[in-house]
Amino acid sequence: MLSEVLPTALNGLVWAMSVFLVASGLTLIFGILHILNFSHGGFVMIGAYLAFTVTNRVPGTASVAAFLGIAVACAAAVGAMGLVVDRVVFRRLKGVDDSYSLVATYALLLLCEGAVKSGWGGNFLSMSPPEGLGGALFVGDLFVPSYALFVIAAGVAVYLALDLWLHRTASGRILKSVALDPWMASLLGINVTAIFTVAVVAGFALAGLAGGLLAPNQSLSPALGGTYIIQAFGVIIVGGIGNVRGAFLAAVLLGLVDAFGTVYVPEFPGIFFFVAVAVIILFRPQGLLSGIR
Amino acid sequence: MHFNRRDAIKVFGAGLAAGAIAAPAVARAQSAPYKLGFISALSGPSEPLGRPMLMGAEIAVEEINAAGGINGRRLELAVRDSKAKPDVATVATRELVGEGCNMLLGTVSSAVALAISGMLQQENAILITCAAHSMRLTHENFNRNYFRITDNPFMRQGAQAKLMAELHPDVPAWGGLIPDHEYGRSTWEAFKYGLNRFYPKIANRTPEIADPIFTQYGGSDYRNYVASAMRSKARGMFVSLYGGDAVTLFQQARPYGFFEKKSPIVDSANEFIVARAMRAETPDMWVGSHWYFGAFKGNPINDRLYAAYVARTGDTFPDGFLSEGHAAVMAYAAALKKTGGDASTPAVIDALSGLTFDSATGPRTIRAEDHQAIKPVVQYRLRGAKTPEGFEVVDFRVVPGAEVIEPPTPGAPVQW
Amino acid sequence: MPHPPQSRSFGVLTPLVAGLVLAAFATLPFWAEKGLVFLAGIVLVQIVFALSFNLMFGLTGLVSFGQAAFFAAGAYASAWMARSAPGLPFILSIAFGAAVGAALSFLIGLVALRRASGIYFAILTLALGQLIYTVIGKTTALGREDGLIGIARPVLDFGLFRVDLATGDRYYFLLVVAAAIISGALWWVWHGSLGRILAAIRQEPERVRFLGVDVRRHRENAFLISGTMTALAGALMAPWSQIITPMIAHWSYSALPILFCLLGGSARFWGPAVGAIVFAGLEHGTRNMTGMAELVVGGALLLVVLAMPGGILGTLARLSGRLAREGAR
Repeated sequence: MLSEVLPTALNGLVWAMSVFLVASGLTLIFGILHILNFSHGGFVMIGAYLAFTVTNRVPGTASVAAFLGIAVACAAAVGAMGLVVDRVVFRRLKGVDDSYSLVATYALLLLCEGAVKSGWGGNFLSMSPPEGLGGALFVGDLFVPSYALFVIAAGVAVYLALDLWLHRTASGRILKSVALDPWMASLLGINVTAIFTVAVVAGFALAGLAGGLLAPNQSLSPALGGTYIIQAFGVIIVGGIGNVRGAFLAAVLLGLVDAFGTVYVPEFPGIFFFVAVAVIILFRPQGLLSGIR
Repeated sequence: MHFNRRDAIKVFGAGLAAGAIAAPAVARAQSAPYKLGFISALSGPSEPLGRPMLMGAEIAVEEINAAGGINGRRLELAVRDSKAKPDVATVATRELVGEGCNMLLGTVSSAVALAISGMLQQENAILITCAAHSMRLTHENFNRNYFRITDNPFMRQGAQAKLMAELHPDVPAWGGLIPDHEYGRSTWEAFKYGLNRFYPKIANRTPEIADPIFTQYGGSDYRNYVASAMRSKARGMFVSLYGGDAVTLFQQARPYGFFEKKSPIVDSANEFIVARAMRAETPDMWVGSHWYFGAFKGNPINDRLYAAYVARTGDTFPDGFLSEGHAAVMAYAAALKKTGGDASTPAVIDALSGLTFDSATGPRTIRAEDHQAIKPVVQYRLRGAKTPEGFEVVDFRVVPGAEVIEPPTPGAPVQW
Repeated sequence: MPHPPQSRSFGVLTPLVAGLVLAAFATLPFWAEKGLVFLAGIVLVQIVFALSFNLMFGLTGLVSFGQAAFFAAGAYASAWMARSAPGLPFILSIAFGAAVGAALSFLIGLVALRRASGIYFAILTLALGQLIYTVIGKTTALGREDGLIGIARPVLDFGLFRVDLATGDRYYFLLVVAAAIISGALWWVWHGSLGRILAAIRQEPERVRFLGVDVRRHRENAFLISGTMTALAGALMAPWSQIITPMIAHWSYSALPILFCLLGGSARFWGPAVGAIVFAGLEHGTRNMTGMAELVVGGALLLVVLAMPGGILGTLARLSGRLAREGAR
């Protein structure tokens, strides 16, 4: 049985990091604007489809460098979409009940699905990992796919970068102060509206990045938007609203719980995620860590 | 009570009068087209299955009308989207019936097929399914108004097991990656049954069958299942995950050396869907199919259907659903010829039961006892290649349906 | 900003329109085609679902994202009971479904309302709902993923006479009557003392607590009533659609009443009913626009939510209020 523990833990971490990549942008927007963006998964999907198209159409994009470059480009593209969404939708959702933003962003998700179907059709698509990440490595006794290691590395890298930005830079601190008390921040002369826009663009860019990085992780279809979103919700709630550190911890915790649950109790696959979320929220309703951090 | 002469005259007179009033209507009806109602998943995740099905039906209708129709009347197709949801399908069915379509065809989802099948007697309609693979439709949930012109898991997985016994008699052990729902489980039961039936006969040994791995479906991470499969002693793998899930599984399995360790791979029903997505990365596997155009070259119906598909889409690898939508229309057409134009439900049911009709896979016979078609079972061997499509078909097999069909037990579950 | 429930803003218009809509529903089989009749039955059930959901949402502001679990509990429990005890009178199997829903909402309410509020309540109910969805999908007695099919429509035996609801669309009329009765009961609760206390709690929870009101107990009562009525809706739906699958316990099904409430307006009692009818119309109207459907429905929803923050009824009230003010000038 022990030989199963390490691979299972590793798979749990891969899943955790893929969900964290998706959840990072979600928790940022939620922490600062208090808008639960149901369409976040839809924009991750758009990022993934864009990466797929560019990789297929533009020759010579098989290398890891190109792969990363394309992912960044997708981040920029989806970030730009975030600018539009902020103007048209999020500005109007200011001060409105959380549930209104749920419906508005659910409508956005439908639009994302419709757009993907119109642009790429309903067929399933598949993107291979870049050259160099298609094989596997021996890590000790374990045989680990390189791309799986890459996803873990990417998740950790994005976490460190976000953590650095939010805690060590001036702009990050401004963001945090706006999240804590927008009114006070505006009194101090901070352009709160501009900061909100920055947060939205950053959140959407993270979605695009996640899409580009995760495109080789699974098949692509218009249903992809809905696949990640519930897990991302669970992670950010357990982690604590707006708390990136919390989201990271929660992702790892839930990923491990789910992986071990699936392997050792195969009769009820997937149930452990929801049990864990329910139990944690019950005993710590504010999440593992609180506040925007 | 004694039926006296006065009553007889009354009845006779009433009949004459009714006939006089109805006659012009009957004459009008005779030149009106036969309306067939098509329901399938035309949106949502099952759209890649429903669309070719519709195209096949449309091609058949066009062909028949171009040849003069049936008994001088044209065929008309009324189309509705079921969205693979039983409630939506129920609304759509009742709409079609209300519009005068008592002859229905289509469905991808077994849940939809079961929902519609349950309504048929009350709505006085007939359903011919072109893909729904639940065994229950011709067993526990059988009713007289339902017909299946495709194969079923018992036949298809039986044929696949038989082929494996012939080509790979020395496989040490077989295992499976099965989606945990009724269809998935029935494909595994059927494959297992086939292994136990054919390996002793053909390979002269009892097959070793490992416990299958039941997977969640619709997810994004199958790595744990891949790891379980790698640990299992099974060498040959039967995979019945659908479409996108199969693609995700294969994508995530490749780096583990899955395709080097696990061979042969048998895919239950994905037609060209996985190959189209994975292209050159498509694993070498045998795929179960409703129809492969290359297996019936020389059959004029097959060739015409293929040519029509290529002309319409420019694509050269149609999925088998194309021929099944086509075949359902062919079945109705043959039945209507047999009834001499009577499109009433009881007449068409009687005509369809036991009917032999021609299709792109050759002649098919619909068994009178359980309305299951005896139809050739098709499989082909696929793999990634440096062709424009990214994949190639290297071999195919056709097994006559009668060799692998189950005994009819309408109203009772399958006898495994 | 949460709106307090208003019962007088439309005056005599509300019962008039409600009466007209009821009449339209009641006479539908005589003038509409069969597919539409089936859809209308589904809409009636969804109206009851949404109205009972809004008892919680509109009055307390708490969003339960797992409401579908109660709907499924009622549907599965009553269908299973009817199948296991074929001689049992229909009303008893329905009551059994409602009882199971009540028990479930009591338990979940106990757990979820203890500490959580706002978004945590939503996610907690989501998680618990998904748990129930998974359990139903793995229970063989309930048909696992394929659910229960061929659910029969009952024959009501009143001793002196029998009413056969299995032929034609007769069951539809039962749905109309049942929906009217349940909606009436919910209306009575909404405008009664519980409704007023909950509205007060929503506006000024601290002040109400100081007055000695047990906030949690009233919320639990609202949740219990809401869950029970939802289960009743599910129990009534099972014989109508004659097939139930675990999808009616999925969170995407829980999203429907939320959608209806926000579309129609959650501050007014009949808002969710308006939302249900409008959404059904939208879906049915776009049913043949395969491929375009998501764009149309998504675009329409977005438009309503952005342009009409109080939902359809809220906007109508604002407009009529404005007209009234201008008329008085």
